[in-house]
Amino acid sequence: MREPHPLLAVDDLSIDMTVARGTVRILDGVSFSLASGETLGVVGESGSGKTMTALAIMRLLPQPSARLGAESRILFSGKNVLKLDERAMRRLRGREISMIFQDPMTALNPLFTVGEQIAETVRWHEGGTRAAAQARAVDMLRAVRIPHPERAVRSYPHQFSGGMRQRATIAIALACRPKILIADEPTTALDVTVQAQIFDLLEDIQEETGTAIILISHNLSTIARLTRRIMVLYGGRKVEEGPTREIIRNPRHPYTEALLRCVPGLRSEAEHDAELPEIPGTVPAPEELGGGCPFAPRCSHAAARCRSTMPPAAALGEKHKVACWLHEAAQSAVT
Amino acid sequence: MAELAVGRERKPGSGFSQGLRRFAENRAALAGLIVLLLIALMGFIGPLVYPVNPFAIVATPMAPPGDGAPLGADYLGRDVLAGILAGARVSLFIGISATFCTAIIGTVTGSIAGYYGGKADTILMRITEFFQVLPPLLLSMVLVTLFSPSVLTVILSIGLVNWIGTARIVRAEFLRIKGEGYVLAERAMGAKNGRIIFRVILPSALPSLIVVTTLQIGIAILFAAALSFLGLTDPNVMTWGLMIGQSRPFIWQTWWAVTFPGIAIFMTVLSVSLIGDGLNEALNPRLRPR
Repeated sequence: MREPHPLLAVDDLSIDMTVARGTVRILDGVSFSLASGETLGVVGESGSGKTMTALAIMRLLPQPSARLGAESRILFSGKNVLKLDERAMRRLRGREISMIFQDPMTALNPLFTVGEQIAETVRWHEGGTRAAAQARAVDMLRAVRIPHPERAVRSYPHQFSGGMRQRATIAIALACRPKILIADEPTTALDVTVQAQIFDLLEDIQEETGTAIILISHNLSTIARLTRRIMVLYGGRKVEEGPTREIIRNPRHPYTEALLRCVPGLRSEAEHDAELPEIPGTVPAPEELGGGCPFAPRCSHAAARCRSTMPPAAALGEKHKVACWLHEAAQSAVT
Repeated sequence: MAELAVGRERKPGSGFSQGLRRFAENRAALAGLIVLLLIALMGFIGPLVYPVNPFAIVATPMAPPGDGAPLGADYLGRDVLAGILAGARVSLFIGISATFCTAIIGTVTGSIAGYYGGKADTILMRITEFFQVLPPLLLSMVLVTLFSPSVLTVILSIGLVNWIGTARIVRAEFLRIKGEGYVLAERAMGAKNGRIIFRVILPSALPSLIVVTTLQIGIAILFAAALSFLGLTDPNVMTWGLMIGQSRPFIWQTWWAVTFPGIAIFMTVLSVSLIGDGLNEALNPRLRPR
């Protein structure tokens, strides 16, 4: 399904970060697109560049330490977001693209009621009366299934539990009916039963409103449930991308493969009794990356070439792409 | 429903009303508040109950307490009690107005430096340090002398030398709160800088600002007393410092003309400090039980 403009197209996104020891490239040439109404899963370990990708789309990268690569482009409905001035960007944030964060305990302003926080967002984007915005706040709280929404609008965040707070941040994020919702590890700070509820909620909201969702997580099994398409990041690079089913059944990049072996629920019956494997080594710090494949130091298939040269993306089938020398044969097919 | 029940473990009400409750439980702070209210009452109602002109010579010069004047008379025969009552109003007025100036200058400087960081921060903090290394009393003496002593110049000069502490605390609060998740979340919802400064960060910084401002009132009153003790004040406005300064050469003959205004200064500054400390304990987020 190809539209003239995908809703969001991220093209060759690179981010350089100034750290104490100099400048490191924390995200290198990541490209992906998102169609309206779609859910894209972004998987990767801590430090793989997931959150930075999200913040780059929102243009909220830490300043002045992070800089975008010159060739980076982020197209929202065909317009380059990176070229917009701050005013236009503010109109985009919250209204066209919203974001929810990992820790709902800190994402709400403790001094204002939940209702005020929703109503304010509505009023500064859409205007309208205080009463209308307040009514919208009640509707939003009902939509995210907070019990007794009429009473909950007058509650302060500290009166909410973690799960309810995350529901409230989702309510704020969706109050202006954005086209894209970026959910950056929305359930990491919550306990398991609440996690499932939040995912159910996101799934329902997607069905009802058609909001496209970028779901960021380090947990493949949660992502597998909710998405049709997955992008795997490792060390600031996109190592594999494709339909969720295909990647779960037939991962082609050694990293994805290793990651899948570590998820108990996704393994085959035969493997079930065996000890859960782990990936040897740790994620390299960005400054330790050379020119080669970032996974090479931990990869069991690594050859000399892997350490010196980054493999280009190879297309396996129509939508499945992988950046690994093991699939060199398919590389000629890539443009 | 189950989730709501979990949420109810916390006491209802905002952090601020909880803070007020903690303040009311603090006896020292409450005593300070009562004494300060009495001093304010004395300053505003006292002259009506005891209508004696503090500049008029109403008793025998150097009359001891009780002899024609309840708290005695100074070397000219002016009533000490009348002076204390008149001075209360002036002291509180100068203290509060000067503190208002320090709060404004300090908050603006601290907010801009803390929020924008970078060059703005560097420049503003260098200016702050410049004021910090100058001896504040000396600087305000110079300022008052330069622009001729009056209540207004005293207020402005005190305000201009005492804002450093406020600026530093506001800046620190901005740096702390700027990193909070809800500031990033607000920005992700399209909030602009002005909104984030005034509606998000400043309200969170308010407790610290209230505490430092209250403590500043005591400092400002001391400064005003010191300036008028040195004669750097409007000679037509009776202040405690002026009374002490003028009676200083006669301290052995008329101890009452020096001691009673001194006690008045002491009590005022002490009660303001007790209130400030009480507010600090009640509102300081770092001391607040989580």
